[in-house]
Order: sequence, then structure tokens, then C-alpha cells
Amino acid sequence: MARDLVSPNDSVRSQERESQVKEDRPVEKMPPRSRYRFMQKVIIPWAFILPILLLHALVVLFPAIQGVYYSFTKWSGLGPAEFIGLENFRRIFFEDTDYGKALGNNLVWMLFFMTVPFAMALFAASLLSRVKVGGIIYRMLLFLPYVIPSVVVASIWRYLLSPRFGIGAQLSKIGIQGLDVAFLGRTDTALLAIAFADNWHFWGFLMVLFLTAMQAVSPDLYDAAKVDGANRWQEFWNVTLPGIRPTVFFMLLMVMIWSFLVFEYVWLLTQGGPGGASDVLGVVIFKNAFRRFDSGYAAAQGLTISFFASLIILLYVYLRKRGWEL
Amino acid sequence: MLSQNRVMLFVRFVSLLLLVVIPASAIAQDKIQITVWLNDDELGQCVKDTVTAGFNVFSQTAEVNVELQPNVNDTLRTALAGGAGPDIIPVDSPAYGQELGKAGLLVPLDAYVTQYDWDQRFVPWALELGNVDGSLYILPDSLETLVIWYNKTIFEENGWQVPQTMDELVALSKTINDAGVIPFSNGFGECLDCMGSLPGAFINHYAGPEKMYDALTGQIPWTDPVFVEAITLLNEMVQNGWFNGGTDRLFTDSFNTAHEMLGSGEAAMYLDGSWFNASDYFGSEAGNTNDYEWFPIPTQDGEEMYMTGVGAAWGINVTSEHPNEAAEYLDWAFSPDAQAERFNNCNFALAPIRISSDVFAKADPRTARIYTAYGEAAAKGNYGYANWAFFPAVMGTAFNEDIQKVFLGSMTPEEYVGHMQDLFTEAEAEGSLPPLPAR
Repeated sequence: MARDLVSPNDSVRSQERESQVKEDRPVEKMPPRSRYRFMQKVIIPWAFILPILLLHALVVLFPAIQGVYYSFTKWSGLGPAEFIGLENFRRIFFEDTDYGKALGNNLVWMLFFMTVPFAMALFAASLLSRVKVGGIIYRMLLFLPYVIPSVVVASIWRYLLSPRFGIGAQLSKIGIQGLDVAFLGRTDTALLAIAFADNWHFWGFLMVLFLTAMQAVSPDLYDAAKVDGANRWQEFWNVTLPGIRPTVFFMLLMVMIWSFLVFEYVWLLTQGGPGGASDVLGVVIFKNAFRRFDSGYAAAQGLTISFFASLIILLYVYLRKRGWEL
Repeated sequence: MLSQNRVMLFVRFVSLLLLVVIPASAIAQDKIQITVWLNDDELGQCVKDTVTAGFNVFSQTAEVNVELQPNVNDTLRTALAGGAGPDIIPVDSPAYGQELGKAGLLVPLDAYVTQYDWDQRFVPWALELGNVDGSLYILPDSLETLVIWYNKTIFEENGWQVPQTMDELVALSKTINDAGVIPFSNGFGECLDCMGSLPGAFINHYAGPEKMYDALTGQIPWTDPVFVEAITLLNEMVQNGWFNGGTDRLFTDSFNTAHEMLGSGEAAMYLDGSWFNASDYFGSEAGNTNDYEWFPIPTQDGEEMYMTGVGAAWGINVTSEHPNEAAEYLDWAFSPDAQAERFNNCNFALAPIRISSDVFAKADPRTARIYTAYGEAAAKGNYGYANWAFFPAVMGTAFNEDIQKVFLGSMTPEEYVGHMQDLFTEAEAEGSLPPLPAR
């Protein structure tokens, strides 16, 4: 009865096992099967990834641990550090008004980048996905700003936003008044002006990602939608968007993390000014570390960014566990 | 036969070439190689081509290799923290050099001071700036002061007189503004943190050198009414639109725009350092027929005075394997001849060393006059204290940043100087006050 329950495949495997054992028997010095499997499944793969693991530990893990240590010290960034416990964190949360203001600006930045470039990229990608001839030219043109160095982009936009020479000044000359404003020199516009310049360089990248994702959506779904009488908006809402949802959500999470790391455009265009109006955490940390010789405090501020990023990663993990396709 | 001769001729030529080249390259290789980092800009390139090139020809023992870095200050700091960096360390202020010295990252220079008689060559107060706990760690470079550059042509056309006192400066600014000309062209769009030069100039010239000395030595607080008045006056002038039409343009226009405004006559004056190369913005090559001059920043009582600043300094990396050769280079770089060559070719400010007035023979007489006038005033004790050289690092940074808040109305002058006092007290408690020349 038991024999009857054995499938033909099992029988074949059993024969293979027996022949393997016969082959193994003469070589008595070889390690036992379990040890061999352990080598094959555990040791060898780890041996392959060991070099990169060591490199990672050297250039990422070790400095990260050092950073955590320095966050509990008073350190100029040059000499020995003095352990001061949680004093830096007390300063951050109970004393430093610049930190709160900068964090607020980071959140404004996040809100901007989770909406404006996404809307622009989705709109452009959905239009371009239907262009059959010459689409590559549009894609290249829209993607081009992404590969221009940030220093160049910042210089271009500093000039374009100048109230003396920029777009506003030129429009003013032909009678269109009101735009010759020092966008980078006013507290109410500086941050958004920088975000605008950064978005000019960023949204093309997002558009290309969405376009690639859209091309993977099955044409049959669009055909079915057409048969059901869906218009363009309904097609986008019910077919395209669900089809590219993993890409959209992944990029939303990435943008949330990147929003805490923003530095270069702010530094290049205003250095956080005027009067701290465009200060973001990255700039505040840089100033503390490199201008005020307060690197221990800067390390503590940096650690808070890691904490915020961890929250976003936890959200990502949570959503995946809940069955979201991310 | 002919072919054999050619071969022999070639062999002889190569042998001769080797005889000539090998000893030369061997000598070059025998020289001890030392490195120095400079900013990757026109000035850095010029220093490389003049001072270090001259040293490499002069020295029998060492050869300096210049590496131009895009942002030498920040790059250097990271390198030093990692135990690396060049043999010779350039820093942009004595305060930064003192931090490096305090952290044990620089070689004490005391032995070299004796060896090379640097105490005879450098102005004593300037050499004192490199002292940390009784040891010298850096040599001061780039003697700087602030003056008011002006468009001489439009001054003459409008009959405007050079002011002697602060009150006269205020009256003149109003007159210029009423005439439809912007009084001051200053713009800090590329470097908002450089805006500290404005309050630095005003507190020095409004309060005077004695009060500045007292504040910097902790004898009077920074909240003293004289400092509040100085900042209030500056803020009023900014709010009147006398600095580039108002805060919008003050915060966005570039240095170059400010220079062009002065040259074209759109603005009449420009408060800037002795380092400003005004000749680039005046005359036919600049597209105008205007001429320029400068006058000292007026004081309350009309007594001529100049802020004293040291805009750079040099030290030797503690990890250097060849500190003696690095010191030999520093001795060369601070020699009167090398300084004169750098001043005349690179328009790089002179180091605070004793130097003959012959150095100015090739210089623009207006630039030369800044140094001579400054020297004469300093001899009488009429020298002030530049914020970038004599303020502790934390206070200096806040001094630059918070003035923006004053101009924007989110901080009062009282709060501004109050914050400076807090930071000064903090630095004093930590022992981070830069050394101050005794009066």
C-alpha cells in the first residue's frame, strides 16, 4: 500500500539517490552530505558576497556607527570628542528653533515634490505613451535637464529668476509687469523658487520612469476599456494608474526620503537664506558641521534624518506586508 | 654603409640625450616632494605659476606640487579629520587655523620662527594670531581692510564730497538717492554669508577701535548701546533702499552685478575690501568712461581708521613627513620678493610682513595708497577688528547669518547684539576666543 502511494517521480529520485550514494561511497574522504550541502548553500554564497560586505562595512556601516557615537559628543570635527550623553538631542528638541524651522521647510519640500512633479510626470507620460512617431525626441528633451550638473542648473535658474536680468525683467520690458520679483531674495518665495528650479531638473526623470511602467501595461486592458466605452480620463484612472501603481508608490516613498536629504540646490541658490527662510535640515547640518565647528551636534541632527527615513522605510515594509504591490 | 652610419648617428644622439636628461631628472627625483592645496580658481593658478614655480627653481632640496581643489576649505577639513591632506595647509582665517592647531593637526612652528627669523619679518600682532596655548601654529597671510570704493566721475559731475564722518555719509547717501542714483551697489546673491562685512564695518567705524577692543576682550558687553546704534543705523540705511534699492536686490544680485553697477554709474559707492579689483569695471574696456577712487569708511568723530583683517593663513600638516621642507617653502612664500611678485602678478593681498614700499612700484597707485594709509593709521592705533579674523567661529557665523534677519525685520538690532553676546560668552567659557593684538 505504501509502495503504491509512491509516485513515479519519487521512485526516480530514490534511484538517483541510490546511485549517488554508490558514486559517493568509493570516495570516503569527501565530507558528509550535510556538510557538503552546508558548504554549497551557505559558505560559498557568503564567500562570494564577503568582499562587498566587507567594503560596505568599511565605507557605510563603520562611519554610520561612528556617526551615532559622535551624536552623543561635543566635537569640533577635528580633534578628540567629549562624551556629553543626550545633550545634543536636548538642544535639538527643546532649544534649537532653527531645527524646527528647517524641518518644516523639509516637509513643505516633500509636499511640493509629492504633488507637482508627479502630476506633471503622469500627465506628460500618459500623453507620450500614445505618441508612436518621434516620441523618443520628446523623451530625450524632457529627460535632458536631469543629466545637467546641479551647479549648472542652479546658475541657469539664478539668472532666470534674477529681477534684473531674468524672465520677469524681460517680460517687464515688453509691458508685462509684476514678475520682476527677487524670488530668491524674499522670505515668502525663496524656498518655492528653489523647489521650482529643482523640479525643472527632476520631473523628466520621473516621467521616463512612469512612461516605462506604462509601456508594461497590457494593451488588452485598454482594448477592454474601449469596448466598455471608457473615455481617456477613465482609461487613465482605471487602467493606467492601477497598472503603474507599484512604480508610483515606490517613487512617492523615495521622494519622501529624498526630501529629508535635500541640500545642493538650496545651498547653491540661497545657502538657506534670506534670514533662514529656505533653511532645510541638510543645510543646517552642513553649517553646524563646517561653519560652526559643531560636528557632534550636526551628527545628532543627521541622526534625526535617519530616523525620519527609517519611519518611511517601515511604512514601505508595512504596506508590502499588507499586500500592497510596491 | 650609409644605413649603418645612420644607425650609429642615431645611437650617439640617443646616448647624448640620455646623458643630458637623466642627471636632470635624477636631480628632480632627488628633491623631496611636498604638496600644497590651493583653491581651483584664477588666484590659485596664479600662485602656482609664480610663487611655487619660483620656489621649485630656487630650492635645491624640495619641490612643491600644487593640487588645485574646487573647495579647498571643506575638502581639507575632511582630509585632515581622516589623517590625510597635503604637507602645507592653507586656511581662510586665523580662527580656523587656531581650531586646527587646537586639535593637534598642525606642526608647532616655534622652532622655525627662530630658524628663519619670522618674528623679525612678520608684524608682531599678526604673528600673534597663530598662537594657541603659547605655541605658534599658523602664519598669517592676506592683510585686508574695508573701504568705500566710489565712482569718481559721477561724484565730480554732481559735486558730491567725500564724507569724513558717519553723519556726513548718511547725508551723502540721501543726496545720492534723491538724485536717482543708488548710493551703494552691494549685492550678496552668491554668498549671503558674506553679508557680515556690512555690520562688521558699521560696528567698527561707529563704535571705534577702543570699544571694539573692549568688547572683544570681554570688558564691555556686545549689548552696549553703541553697537545697537551702529546696527540700527545700518538697518535704517538698508530699509531706505540705499543698499542696492532694498533687501530684495541686496540678497540676490551677484558681486559682478554690484561691480558693474558701480562702474556704469548706476550706483555711486561700494563698500568692499582692499582686494576689490576696481580697474576691471572702469574705462573703455568695461564699456564706460568713468573713473574710480576710494575713501576710508567714515567714523563718528572723523578720525581716519581702518579695520584690520587677515584673510588667510598657512600651517604644516602634523602628518607631513617633511615638515622642514614645508617650512622652507613657507619661508620662501613669505619672503618680500615672493610677496611682491604675488601682489603684482596675482593681485593677492600682501601678508602682514615688513616690506619696502618699492613693492608698490608696479601696482595701481590707488591700491597702493590703501596699504600706506592703513599703515599710517595703524601706527597711531587707529585700527579696528575684522569680524572674519577676530570673532570666535560660532559668533562669526551667526554674525553673518543673523544680520539678514535684522534686515528682514524678524530680529531687532537689540536681539542681534544680544545673540552675539550669548555666543561670545559661550566661546569665552570654552577658551575659543581668538588672540587679539594688544593696544
